[in-house]
Amino acid sequence: MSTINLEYDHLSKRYGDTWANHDINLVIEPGSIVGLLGPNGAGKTTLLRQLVGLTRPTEGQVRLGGRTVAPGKRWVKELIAYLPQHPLALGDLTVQEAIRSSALLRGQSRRDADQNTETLLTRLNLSSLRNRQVAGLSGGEHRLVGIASVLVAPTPIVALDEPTNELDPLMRHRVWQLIEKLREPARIILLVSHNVLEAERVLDRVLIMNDGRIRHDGGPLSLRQNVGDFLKVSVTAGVAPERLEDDVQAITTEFQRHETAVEFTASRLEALKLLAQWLGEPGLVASVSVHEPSLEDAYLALRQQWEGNDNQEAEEREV
Amino acid sequence: MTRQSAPFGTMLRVLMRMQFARLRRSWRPYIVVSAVMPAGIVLLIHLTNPGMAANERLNIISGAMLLAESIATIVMLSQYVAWLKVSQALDHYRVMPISLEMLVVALTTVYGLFAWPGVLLIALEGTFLDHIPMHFSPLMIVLMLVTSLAMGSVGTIIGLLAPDEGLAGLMGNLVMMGVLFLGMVPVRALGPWTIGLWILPSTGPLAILKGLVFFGSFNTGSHWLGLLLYAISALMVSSYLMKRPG
Repeated sequence: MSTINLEYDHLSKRYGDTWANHDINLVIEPGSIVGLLGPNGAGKTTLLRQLVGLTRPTEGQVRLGGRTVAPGKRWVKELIAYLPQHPLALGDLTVQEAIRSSALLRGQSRRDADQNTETLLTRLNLSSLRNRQVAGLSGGEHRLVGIASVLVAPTPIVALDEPTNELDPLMRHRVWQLIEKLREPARIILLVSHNVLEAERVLDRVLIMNDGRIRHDGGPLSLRQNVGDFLKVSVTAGVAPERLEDDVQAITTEFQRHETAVEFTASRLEALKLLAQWLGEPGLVASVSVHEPSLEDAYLALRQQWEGNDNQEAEEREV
Repeated sequence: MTRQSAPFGTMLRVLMRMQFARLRRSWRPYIVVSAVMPAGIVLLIHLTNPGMAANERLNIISGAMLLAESIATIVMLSQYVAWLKVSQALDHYRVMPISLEMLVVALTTVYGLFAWPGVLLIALEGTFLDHIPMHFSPLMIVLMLVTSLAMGSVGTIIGLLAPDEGLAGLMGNLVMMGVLFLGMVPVRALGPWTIGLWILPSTGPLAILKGLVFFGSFNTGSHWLGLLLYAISALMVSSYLMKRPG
């Protein structure tokens, strides 16, 4: 597989007076798994649809390997496998036929198509459903068939819109494993997900969108650093949980108490100082667990920052 | 750059099989509706007009055969395509490395085939009720396939332009009646408007069908040409509309 860069060049899409996305500039190198995160209506799906040529940009362009993506062009469709949010046109087929047909249409030989279909049926636990009609499946099963149909013949660019929607925890885990296995030096995987916590394990780069703009672009670690250096601490009191609660209140407002346990999020320095103080008093603390903030924590903190800024701007305008 | 798509033969075979799969789920409405109404009209006219002239009987039989074809390819296909569009399932085809012209061919062929049991039933009515001697020619199959493409492409265009499935059905019914009505009106009754009939997908098939089925003759070359041009033009328009991005 030869390597292809993906470039978004001053890309914008406007529907009436509303910008679905605005002045997006990005270069994505091969070999990376990139996550598009953000609230509903942030413009993530529009970005994927512009990539595959389903939505025509109002301004700017998308380039693949230096060539401009034009809607309906065959070379674009040959390079990109796309899983949309909505069901695929596979409802009349059986599960096995649906996956195999996708493999054949992607140019695989019958033998490869059969073999790859079988592998995915097993990995996604769909073997027992192989002869069931796709239209009769549950939402989650239907989603798995869609994922299998896209992953059965992976292309240099794989774009997945909410791949784990409607899936149970075990299946979500398997799908993330499959996505991780797709990682290749020449491949770009671009995925939209609301499941920040699970996406974290596979992502090399995180793009956070809000109001049609990219608000953060970097690795998961840089996102955490971006929102501050903090720790999540969970403490079970040996005696006097009220004392722990009082101490925590002095350093942060983000805490919860459940009977003898106190959970809180605070700056790394403050949290470590407090822990050192508690551990110096025998019997005060029965157990402690300390966590680095997850990508989800960082994402939520970032969203709180935006909302705070937006509220402040609104108040300033009113004044 | 690595390219991944199927050779044309495989593509057509897979797309045809994908469309044929609809038969498993929906054969009852497709076959029954496209057969019952036209066959019922033939029976009704036979019972209410016992003294009808042979030429008029031929018109009724050939018109009913074409009605069966147009119910499947214009009305039912337009509804299916509108559903594909509204549910966004059409995007699946639009992002696959396939020829959308070939997808339209597969859709129209399969929907055209749904009408064949109805056509056969009407032929049997003509033979046994109206005692019309009928000929079978392999060209009938070619005619039905090209007619399916011409009418089915019109059905596809309606489905792509209609805002939803219900309106597609309504528009499909109106177009179907217009196509059949104007296609069946005798040329002498239209005068200077005759030329306009060339734009209807029913004009050619009706003339060819009468020649083939009732007289076993193939002397309607200009109609074949008109039908072919119509089918190709409608195919181009429908696949263009299918490719249009949002």
